[in-house]
Amino acid sequence: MTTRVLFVDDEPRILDGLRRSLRAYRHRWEMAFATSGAQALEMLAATPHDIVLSDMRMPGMDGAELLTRISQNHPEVARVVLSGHTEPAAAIRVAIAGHRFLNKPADVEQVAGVITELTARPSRTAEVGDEGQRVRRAAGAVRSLPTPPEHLEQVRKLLGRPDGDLASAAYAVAHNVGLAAKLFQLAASPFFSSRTRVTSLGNAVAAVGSPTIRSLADTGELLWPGPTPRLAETVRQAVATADLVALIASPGNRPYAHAAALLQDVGRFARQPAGDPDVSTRAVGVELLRLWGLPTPVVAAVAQRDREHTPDASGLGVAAAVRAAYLLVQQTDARDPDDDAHDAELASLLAHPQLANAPTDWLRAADDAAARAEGWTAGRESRSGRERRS
Amino acid sequence: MTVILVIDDDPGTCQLLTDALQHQGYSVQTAGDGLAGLRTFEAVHPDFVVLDADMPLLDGHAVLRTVRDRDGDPVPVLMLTAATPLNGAARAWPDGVDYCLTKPFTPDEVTKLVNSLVGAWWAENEQ
Repeated sequence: MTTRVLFVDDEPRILDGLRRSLRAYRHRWEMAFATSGAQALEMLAATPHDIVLSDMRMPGMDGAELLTRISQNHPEVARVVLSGHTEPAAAIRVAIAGHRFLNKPADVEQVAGVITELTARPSRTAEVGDEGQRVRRAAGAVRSLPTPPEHLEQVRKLLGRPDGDLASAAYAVAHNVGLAAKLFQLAASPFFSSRTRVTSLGNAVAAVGSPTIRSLADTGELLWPGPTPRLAETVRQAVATADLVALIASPGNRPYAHAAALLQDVGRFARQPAGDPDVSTRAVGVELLRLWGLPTPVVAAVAQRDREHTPDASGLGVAAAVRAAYLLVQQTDARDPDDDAHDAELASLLAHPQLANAPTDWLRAADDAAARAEGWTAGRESRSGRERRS
Repeated sequence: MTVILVIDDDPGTCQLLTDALQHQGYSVQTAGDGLAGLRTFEAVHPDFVVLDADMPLLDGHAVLRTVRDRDGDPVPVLMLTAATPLNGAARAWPDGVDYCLTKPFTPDEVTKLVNSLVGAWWAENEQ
């Protein structure tokens, strides 16, 4: 199937420039060009497209509004923002509506790279055919993940204090799946991020910066719609697993493992489009992380979380560390009641030489992590949590 | 561009790994001993380090400990160890190594581990 890419910009000379500079790729994608949001929506209604790359500042319907509408009416279309604009309020609107963000004028290699990534079907993680389309639609409809208001308030407070530093903000964000997901997404894009390679949450917080994080916390878009006990449980389990995997994963794997543990069940936050048969929430989560440009080891570890792991002698790696932490948390009160025990697999993971000689009582560490997560998600910071931050 | 630093006192191994990693699209820097390795580490800020355990002057274990004492996000380290207890993986895990391969190894084993962590999407897909 041919990949169809739609470019939207109100300045025809910018579109001409893109057409010229991307000529070499015309055998790989079919390219279409629209000079307004309204024209883009007409073209999408007439012909299915895979990706839209839109300017942000346009008369009439601006880029944020166009991409929001596309997320509602054509959720299967990947949304890329091309922007040279830095007005904070507008930047936050596109941060919610888009999947990827490029600076304008964009480097041809970067544009081609993003299109190639967004249209690639990695064999190990993505579904194909109709199922793949349903997964993409469910993931594409997500603009942000819901977050409980008290957690956003916590982040706002930490950033608003005169002594509020980025490290304490990172600590708060580490307990906030929705905001963490958005920050990783923004940190993966040159438009929002000052760094080329972002692996850890602390790094993502520093790269995006506190003004943007504060604006994100202030936007109503991240708010939890109402009491959702199942999601609260998902968050508690993710926070406990992320806390624990920091002890299990080796230093170089740790940032990826922490991110993967925190984002392991993002698919559960996505609403399934009405009328579509249900698709696997794991597949939707993986697709979402791919659309958002999270590092490959993170996406792979989330994709493989439910797969039985046989540890490799060369090292546990990211995915097996996340799996071990998940199985340990399953032995605690924070367990996911839908999953069975995997005692033999857990024993073989913990017997890996990387972990076997560590002086840690893993079950106890898991209980502690679960208790800290419980304290945090119940809205009170546990004693050990405070100690860790200071 | 993703930079891989190979620290090994055997020029043959350095060349073999350089060829294999460059073929995967990485930029490769090499150093022939531990001290030179640390200097290059500070100069090029690599995304991944391949480190021989057994080297004169400063061995791989000492290089690993120095690298792990630095602030900031830890760089992934793959250690190449001889199958002897003195320089084996058992010593490296507590010092914070991420992966260990026992000699003899194939360049494919190295590129696979590098790809799994810092590879571009296409390198991951080819596995």
